[in-house]
Amino acid sequence: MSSSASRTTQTATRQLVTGIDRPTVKQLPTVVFFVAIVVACAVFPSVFVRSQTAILIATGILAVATVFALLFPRDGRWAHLAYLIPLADFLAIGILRLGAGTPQGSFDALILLPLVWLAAEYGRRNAVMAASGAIVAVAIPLAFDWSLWEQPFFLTRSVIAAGVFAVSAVLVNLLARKIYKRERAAQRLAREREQALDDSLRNTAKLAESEARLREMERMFMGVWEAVSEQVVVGTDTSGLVDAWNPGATRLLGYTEREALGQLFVDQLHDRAELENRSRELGFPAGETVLNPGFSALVEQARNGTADVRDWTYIAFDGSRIPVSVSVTARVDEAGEIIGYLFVAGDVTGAQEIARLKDEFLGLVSHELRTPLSSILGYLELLRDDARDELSEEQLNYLSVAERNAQRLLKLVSDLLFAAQVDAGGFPITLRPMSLTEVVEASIESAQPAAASAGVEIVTSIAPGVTINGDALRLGQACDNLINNAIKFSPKGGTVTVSLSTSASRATVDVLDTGVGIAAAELDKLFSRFFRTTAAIQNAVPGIGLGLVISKSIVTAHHGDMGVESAEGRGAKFWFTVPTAREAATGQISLPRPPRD
Amino acid sequence: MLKTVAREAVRVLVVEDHDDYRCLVQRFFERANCEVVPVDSAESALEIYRELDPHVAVVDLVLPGMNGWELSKRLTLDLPNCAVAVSSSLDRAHYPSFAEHLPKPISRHAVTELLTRRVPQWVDQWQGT
Repeated sequence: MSSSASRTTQTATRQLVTGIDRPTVKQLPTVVFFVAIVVACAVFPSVFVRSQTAILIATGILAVATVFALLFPRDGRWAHLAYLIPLADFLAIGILRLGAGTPQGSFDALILLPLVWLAAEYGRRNAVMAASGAIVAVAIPLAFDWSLWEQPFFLTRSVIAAGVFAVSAVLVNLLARKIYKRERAAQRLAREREQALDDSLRNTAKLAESEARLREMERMFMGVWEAVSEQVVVGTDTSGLVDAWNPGATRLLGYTEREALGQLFVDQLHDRAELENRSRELGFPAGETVLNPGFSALVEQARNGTADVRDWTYIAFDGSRIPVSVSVTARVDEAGEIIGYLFVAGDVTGAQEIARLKDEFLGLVSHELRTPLSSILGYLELLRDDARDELSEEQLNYLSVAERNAQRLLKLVSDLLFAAQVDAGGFPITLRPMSLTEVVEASIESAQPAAASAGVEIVTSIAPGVTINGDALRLGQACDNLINNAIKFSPKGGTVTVSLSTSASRATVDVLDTGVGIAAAELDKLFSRFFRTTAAIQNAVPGIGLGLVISKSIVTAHHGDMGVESAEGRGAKFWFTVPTAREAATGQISLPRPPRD
Repeated sequence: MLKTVAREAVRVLVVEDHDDYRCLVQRFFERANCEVVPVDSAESALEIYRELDPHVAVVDLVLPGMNGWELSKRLTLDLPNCAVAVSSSLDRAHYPSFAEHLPKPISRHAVTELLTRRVPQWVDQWQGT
C-alpha cells in the first residue's frame, strides 16, 4: 500500500472513529426527523409553516446531502469530504427553522444530530465546524426574518441554544478524542500481541527445525557409533571412569555397556604390570589421580597434548588376555580444558601372529642361507689347507677372492637377520660385566688387515680397564661396523682415529675418519635402514646400508646413545656412549619397541 | 722314553642333516686325526652313541625328527665325558647353555680350539706326534 493511500485510510479511520463508517446511517436520523417535521408542516400548515419556500429549499438541500451520503464512496480521494454532509444538514436545518416552527420553539433539537456526528469525529477542526454549523443553523432564521429580532424570548433562546450547542460540540469532541486514543492504544496492543505471537511461532518453528537437525545428527552419530564393532572405543572422564562404551568394546572385552558405564575404570582393563612398567618409564608421573598411578601413566602423553599410540594387553571380562594397540587422546571443551580421555583400541593378535610367523620365516631363511655358505667357506678352507703347496700363486689368489666374497655374503645374511629382528622388536643380548677396552682393541686389531690394504692408518687412544655391563660380541659388532666404515670412506693415506674415554658414568667411543664427510641433509637419514649416502653410492663403496642401523640398535639396547658429527669435505666422527655404572644385569633383554611413525 | 700306551683315536660323532656340511665337518676332524662317525639324524645318533662312546659330539640344532636341543641334552646327560658341541647356523642365543659352540662355518681354528680345550687325549696325541 502506498504511503499516501495509507495516510488517506488513516485519516478516514480517524474521521469515522465512531465506528459507523457509512454516512448513510449517520444521515438517517436527521432525515427521519426532518421528514417528520415536514410532514407535520404539511398536515398542520397553519401551525407550523411560516415560509413554504424556505421549507422547500431546506428539503432540497437535505435531499442533495442525503443523495451524496447514499452514493458516498467508502474510501478514496473524496472520503475526507464526508464532513460536508453534516454541514449541509446544518444549512438545511437552519433554513427549515426559518420556514417552519412556532415562536416558542423551532426544532432546535434537530441541530444536535449533525452536531454530534461532526463533533464526534477526531480532530479539533471538527469541533469548530460543528460549533460553527450549529451557530449558523441557529442564526439563519434571525438572519432572514428580521421580525424575529423583536421577539426577545426567541432571541435569548437562540443565543443560549447557540452557546450550549457550541459547548456540546467541544465536549463531544473531547470525549470522542479520548475514546479514539483508547481505541488506538488497544489496536496497538493488539498489533503488538499479534507480532509477539508471530515471533513466537517463528521461533518455535526454528526450534523445531534445530531439534530436527539435532536429532538427525544424533541418529547419524549413533549409527556410526553402533557400526564400529571391530574396534574398542571408550570414553572416560578425567579420572578414568568410563562414560562411553561402544559395541566393539563389548564384543572384544565382554563387558556390557551397562556394566561399564559409570562403573568401570579404564585402567582396570589393563595388565597391572604393564602399567607399572610404563609408569616407571615415565618417572612415575603424578597426574591428577594420585590414587591411580597406573591411569596417570596411561594418559600422561595425551595429557601433554600428544596422541599416544602403543601396545598393551587388555584383560577381558572372562580373564582372557588380548594384545591391543591403543591410541589415547584427550577430550577438551570449548575453553580448551581437558574433560576426559578417548581410548581407541584395535586387536593386534593377528598382527602379532604375523610378526611371529615373519620371525619364524626369517629364522628358517637365515638357516637355509647360512648352511650352504658355511659349506662353501669350509670347503674353500680345506682346499687351501690341502693344496697350498700345489696351487700357483694366482690360484691361491682365486681362492682368497672366493673366500672373501663368501664371507661377505655370510655377513650380509647376518646383518639382514639382525635388522629384521630389530624391526620385529627384539634381538637377544646378554649383559654381563666385560671390558670395553678389550673389545675396542680387538676390533681395531681385526681391522688392521683391511686398513693396511686400503692404505689407511689407524691411530688409537684407548683408556685402559674400562668395564661395563654389556654383550661383548654385539659391542664388538658395533665397533667393527664403525671402524670398517671409517676405513671404507677414508682415502689412501688417510687416517682413522679410534678413541675410548670415560666420564662420570659413561664410556665414549669415537671413530674419526678423514674422508669426504657427510652432507648435512643426509645426517638425519644415516641411521635408517638401507640408506646409503650419495658419496657412498657415487664412489661405489661396498655395503647395503645396514651397518649403522645395527650398530645403533646394539648401543640402544645397552641403554646408550649413538651419533655423528660431520660436514661435507671434512670427514666424519661417529660416536657412541654406554653407561658404565649399572647394577649387574644378566639374562636376555629385548629392545624396547620402536615408536610407531 | 717312548710312550708305550696304545693311542686311542679321538672319536667324534657328527650329527648333521645337510650332506655337504656333514662331510665337511668329517673332513675337518679327520684332518685332526680323529675317528669320525657321521649320521644324518638324531634317531640314528641315538642308536649308536652308547656303543660308540664318543669323546666329541657335534650336533646340528635343526634336524628332522628329534631336534638338536633334545639330542644334545640327552648326550650331555648320558655321556658325562663327552664334549657336546652345537653347530648351527642359528643365532648363538638359541644355543643350549650347557653345550660347546662350534658355529657354522666350521674352521680349523675352531676345531683345534675345541679339541685342545675339551679332549685331553687329543692334546696328548698331538703333543706326542
